[in-house]
Amino acid sequence: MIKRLLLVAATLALLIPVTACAPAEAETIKIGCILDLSGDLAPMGARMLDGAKLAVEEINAAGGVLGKQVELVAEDGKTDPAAGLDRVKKLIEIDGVQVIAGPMISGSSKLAIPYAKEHKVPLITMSATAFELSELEGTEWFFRACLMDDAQGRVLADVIMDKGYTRVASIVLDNLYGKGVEKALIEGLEEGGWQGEVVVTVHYDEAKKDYRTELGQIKDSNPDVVLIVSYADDGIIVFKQALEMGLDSIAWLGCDGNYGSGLFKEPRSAEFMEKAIVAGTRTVGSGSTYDEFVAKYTEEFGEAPEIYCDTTYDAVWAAAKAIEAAGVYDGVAIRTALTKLEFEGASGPISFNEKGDRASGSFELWKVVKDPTTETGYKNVRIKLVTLE
Amino acid sequence: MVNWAQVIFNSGVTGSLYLIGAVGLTLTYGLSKFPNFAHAEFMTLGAYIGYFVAEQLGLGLPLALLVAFLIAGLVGVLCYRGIFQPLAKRGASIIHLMVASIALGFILRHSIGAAWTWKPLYFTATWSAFDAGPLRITGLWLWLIFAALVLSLAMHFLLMNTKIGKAIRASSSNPELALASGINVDRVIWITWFIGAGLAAVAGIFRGADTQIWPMTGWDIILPIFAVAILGGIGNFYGAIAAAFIIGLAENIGVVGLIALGLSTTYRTGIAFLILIITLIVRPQGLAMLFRRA
Repeated sequence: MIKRLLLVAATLALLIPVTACAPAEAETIKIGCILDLSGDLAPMGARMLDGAKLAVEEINAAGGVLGKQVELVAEDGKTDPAAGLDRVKKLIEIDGVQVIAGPMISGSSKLAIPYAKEHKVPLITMSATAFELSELEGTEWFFRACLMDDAQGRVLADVIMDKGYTRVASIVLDNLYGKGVEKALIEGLEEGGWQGEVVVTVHYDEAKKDYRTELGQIKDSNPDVVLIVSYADDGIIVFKQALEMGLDSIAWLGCDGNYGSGLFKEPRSAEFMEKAIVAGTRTVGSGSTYDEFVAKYTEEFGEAPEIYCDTTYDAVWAAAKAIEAAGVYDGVAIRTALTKLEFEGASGPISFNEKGDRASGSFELWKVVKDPTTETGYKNVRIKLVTLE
Repeated sequence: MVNWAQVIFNSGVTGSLYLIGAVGLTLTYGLSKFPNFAHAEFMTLGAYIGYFVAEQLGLGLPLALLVAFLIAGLVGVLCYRGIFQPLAKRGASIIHLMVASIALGFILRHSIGAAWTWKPLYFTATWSAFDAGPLRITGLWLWLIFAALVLSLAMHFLLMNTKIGKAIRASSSNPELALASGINVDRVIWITWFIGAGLAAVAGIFRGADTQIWPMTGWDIILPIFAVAILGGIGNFYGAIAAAFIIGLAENIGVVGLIALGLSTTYRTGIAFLILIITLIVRPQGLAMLFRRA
């Protein structure tokens, strides 16, 4: 008898902490966020986080969602697919978030999509651009506030055909992003009836940090234009070594990964970009909403927003608007609301097609010029705006 | 067409870096009888001290190399005296010492990260680049090759013609006999740790000036450096020279091959690893037999 009582008492003792820990009615509405604050994309990720913070501030100033204040739970994806997935799990399982702005990179997104589907939590990426992600099982849980590599590669293919280059080389990151842009570029050239030759393709390891021999192979293939798809910190080494190898006499095409002042902190990298890059791409907003966003961001953080700050801001806003439209903080309802969402974001009009991809948007073609008024002595300037419908 | 002259020159640059990095590892391994994984962090530490002197204090690269050599050398001696020697005296096996060195590496790496942040840093010294026939050369690469040459000659002179050099060789091949012949083996060991860690720092600075520095700088290249030490034969300096250039060639030719096959150059690290495994299976003593005098 005593034994049985002890057993009951012990069982009760086990239960007490559980009831004590039962969640109280949540005070805030949580929006998860995965940005890469360390690793090769750290310079970009930190600025993008400011974009997310600005959105949350505005949402709360306007009264929050469902009558509650919004809390941003930001996690560091470390520019590493596995770390990104780990942080998504943390957000869903520990913080119990029902919608996530992110992940930032395609590699993390690829791993996170099946997981998000299983747990019924929609993801809204601000910068994962790989085309492949829209073909994955569970992609209905994955929305994009950015345009895809597919579009980016095609815009660059048009540049090659416009300028009449005939010998194309590429040096791209060996991941979904790098190979995605390269593939889209080559397909764009083929479809455009381009009469030229792809002389060499190099898929490099971002962790290797020494690309002399890779660049030597490009030099030996004698191209007239080189596509580079990199992130910021590895891009700096490629550009610096390319300058040392004398590859600045060839025309180079950049992309969104090597846009921004982060690339200019190494003077030789900046010098190379100014001399060699004839055009790069990036998604941009346009119109008055974008100008307002730029003004607010600049006032708040003391510097102008850079790449994907606008789409991060939009991804957080999209999450908030979808929660409000759903009327309940629940992943399934939020996903349904996202499919019907339409609003004017900082990066332009935002709506999602049947695969969750952004329906329209615009690209900027940029180059690098000297500007003694900036801290690094260089800045990016727009060559032209390309709008895709 | 592949510019083979450039590929071979690049191999020389890569090999020079690996040689400078591997000398300390192979000699301390030979004397203390365990692989010091914290050797990677000696390189990283050296790169950061070099960065501090050259960039933050603005005193230039030559002084940075000297200061980093001395401080990292001192850290090497302190680590040996404070951690590895007491452990060995208490009967620690190779496994204990190895794990201790991994732990030391973690502590150093994260302390560096805490002191300088984890963001990559860049040396701003610029090097003139020029063409020499089919070759593209920069000043830094010439300095790196020059440093490796000076190191080789100096180590040769030290090992063959000085008392301490002979003592290093004697202690390495038979510590008991060396002790019995009146050699101060303890002194030999700490001097070797000093030189080894100091040279690791030099390698770290060269790697940093050529690419970037971050708290994983040394760890990024520790695998090929281990491959050099093992292929060259543990404790064997002359073997290490040959091995450094074999690994350098294999990596660079490997990159050319990988690109020609349309494969990712990510596999280039695998080439050093493959050589390492084949050496361990086929010829675990490395190239040592070819250089018996050492």
